[in-house]
Amino acid sequence: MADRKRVVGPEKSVLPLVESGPQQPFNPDRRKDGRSGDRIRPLFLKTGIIKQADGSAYIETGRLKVACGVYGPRQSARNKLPTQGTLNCDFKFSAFSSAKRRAYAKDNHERECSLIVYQALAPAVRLDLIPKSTVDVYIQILESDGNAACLAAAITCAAMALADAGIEMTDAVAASSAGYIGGNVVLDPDGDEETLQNGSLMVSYMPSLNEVTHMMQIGEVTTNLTVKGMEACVDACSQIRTVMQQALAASLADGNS
Amino acid sequence: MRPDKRNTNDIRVTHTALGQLHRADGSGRYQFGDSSVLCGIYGPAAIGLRDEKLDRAVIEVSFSAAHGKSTTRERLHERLLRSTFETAILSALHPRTGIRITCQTLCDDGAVLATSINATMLALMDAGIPLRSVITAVSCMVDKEGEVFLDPTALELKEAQSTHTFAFDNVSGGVVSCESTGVFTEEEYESCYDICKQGSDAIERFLRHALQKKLEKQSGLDFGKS
Amino acid sequence: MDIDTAADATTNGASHFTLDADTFRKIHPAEYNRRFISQGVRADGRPLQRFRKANVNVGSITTANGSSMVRLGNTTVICGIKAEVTEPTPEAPRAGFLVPNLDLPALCSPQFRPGPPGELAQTISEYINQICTSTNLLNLDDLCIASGQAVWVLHADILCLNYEGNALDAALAALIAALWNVRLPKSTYDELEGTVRAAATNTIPLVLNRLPLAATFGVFDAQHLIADPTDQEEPLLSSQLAIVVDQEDNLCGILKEGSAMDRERMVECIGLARNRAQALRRLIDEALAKADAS
Repeated sequence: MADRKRVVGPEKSVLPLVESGPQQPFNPDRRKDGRSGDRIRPLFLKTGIIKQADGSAYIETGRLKVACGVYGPRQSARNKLPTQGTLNCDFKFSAFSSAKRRAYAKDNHERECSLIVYQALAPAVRLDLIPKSTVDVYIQILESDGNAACLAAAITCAAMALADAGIEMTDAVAASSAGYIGGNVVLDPDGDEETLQNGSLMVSYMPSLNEVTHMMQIGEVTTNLTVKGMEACVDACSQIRTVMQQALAASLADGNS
Repeated sequence: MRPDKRNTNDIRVTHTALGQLHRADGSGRYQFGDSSVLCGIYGPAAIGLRDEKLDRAVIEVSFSAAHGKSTTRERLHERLLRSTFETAILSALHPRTGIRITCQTLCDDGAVLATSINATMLALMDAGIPLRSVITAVSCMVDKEGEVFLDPTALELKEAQSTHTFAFDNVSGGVVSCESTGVFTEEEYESCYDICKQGSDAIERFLRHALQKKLEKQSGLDFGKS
Repeated sequence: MDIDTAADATTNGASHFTLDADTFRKIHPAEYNRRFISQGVRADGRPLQRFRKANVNVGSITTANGSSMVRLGNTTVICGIKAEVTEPTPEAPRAGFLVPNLDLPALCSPQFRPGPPGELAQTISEYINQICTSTNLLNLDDLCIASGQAVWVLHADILCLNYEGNALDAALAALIAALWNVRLPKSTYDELEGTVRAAATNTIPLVLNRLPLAATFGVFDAQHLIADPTDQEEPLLSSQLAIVVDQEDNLCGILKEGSAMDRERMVECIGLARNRAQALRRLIDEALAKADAS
């Protein structure tokens, strides 16, 4: 059904078939971008990019780019819980963010991701301190490169934005992803590597409390490998946490100067 | 030579009608040749608490094209209609109410925006809504040779290099709304401005005549020539 | 809720309490801005007719065929153009499509709610679409892959990340910069299978006939002309005027709404718009040169 609230083009359009070049065999110790299996992509984090929002953050890792804006605490609609606040997460892929153009309407994948972001962040946010209020977290994926990596980056970005907004949390949640490729745990797989994996793992972790808020694993994987994967992800989360702290400190310094 | 043998600064045969919708507080129909728009005004009436303004009336516009469901094109028309009449209507006289303007295009033969502005003007006068001034609109086009034609039909618009719709107010004489698309020079724009100003003065006379006829009929008096 | 400022309530000498600037701005926005504008300056410190500093970047979104990011002051928009293949209409078997759309998500400002686009986004999308079609911005025949069978459709999705007024200027500039940045792959139409095969790298640029760029003005209190209104000023303006100018100083569009404006003022705005369009074009050229060099 054509969307009457937007300028419409032709109803159906498809991507052309692209001849892919010769595929190099996957080497877990030296991947396409030179990383070994236990390294995450270099991370760039910045807060305060959306001046209109109460808090915002931008994360860039490899080709992945995510922006997040937080509005709140603001007044809830009626009929909300009087004892604690509400956290509302909205996850959206931009139309140009993946190889195939995304529609503007929310699809099931985006709804699922919104729920996952909520599940990852809600345990950390002190909603009991903001009764009758709502915190709205809007995540916009500008460029996606790896589904699980994208989700992990979104959670990290949202946690940073919440911190930037001054919403009290028990700890800033960091999230990382891993893929299982041929018996190896490969951290932070990008889009091409994801096509080779036979399982994926995403862990959201609170480093100061050493607690996992959310974990999601897909695929048929042995328990030993799962444990290895979790350890790798938790390590990665600690590294991400350092970058988050630096970025927040930098933004405070900017704010003071 | 234009297909319907008009001069370059002639507007098409105009038809006006007032008060055709009995259930509306006011209604007006305006026609430029075959382009015809019917406008109904509902208000000032009560609106929801969420939408009301404490110091003035809220103007809402709904515009429907001749065929098909409404698209972003109709949204742009609605915005232009709303902004045109928001300043003309003395909305401070009716706080906490809503005035709803509904325009339906009956037939589209070019210049629909201008037709709807004139139809809305008629309807507002029919509804007795207090206004600051009379707003009249007309459109024109510039063809590929740079010649300006007033009130083009849809057929003529196919050859347009640029199209312009102007709405003027009769108190200050300035431009209230303007929608110009295409590629044109500043000189062409100035010629269009002048030609449309003349055209809208003529339309103001039509509107005055239409309102006069209605009032004469209602009161049974003869107001004579003005 | 809209409270019209009663000038006597605040300018009356014997006021019982003084408000700090931020509170005053929130409860009497019109009076707050009036105090500045009547002195010839605006709340953000600009002279009345100065446009905000613009910033252009291209090519950052690698999943798109062309992309750009434009910042006008703090209003930030990103345009990503994706090219897909579709069937042409029977009336124009060689013509491709350019479909621009502006999205103002809840992310960019507290005034927008999640959900389908509101009136502002729809009207700007429609006006940009009108500019593209009526000025023949692109030769749509250039987008032909196989006449009557396959043509490119360029979906230009403009996303606003931070809305601080004047989305039209930013969105149009982002669209033009992104179109210049577009690279299409060499492709062929396979008759037997009815599919289009494309090369792995994108190399073919687009040819733009026109570079229309917009400049928006507003009139405050029916007397003061201001350029490039911010989101704080927009609801207070009595009229707004957007003028679109191309690279040959031709006009490509004028959109005026609100109360009456006289002719001299419109001519003044056209002159200012020309200068602004020239400055924006220079920035876009620099950004494109930088992207090509890297």
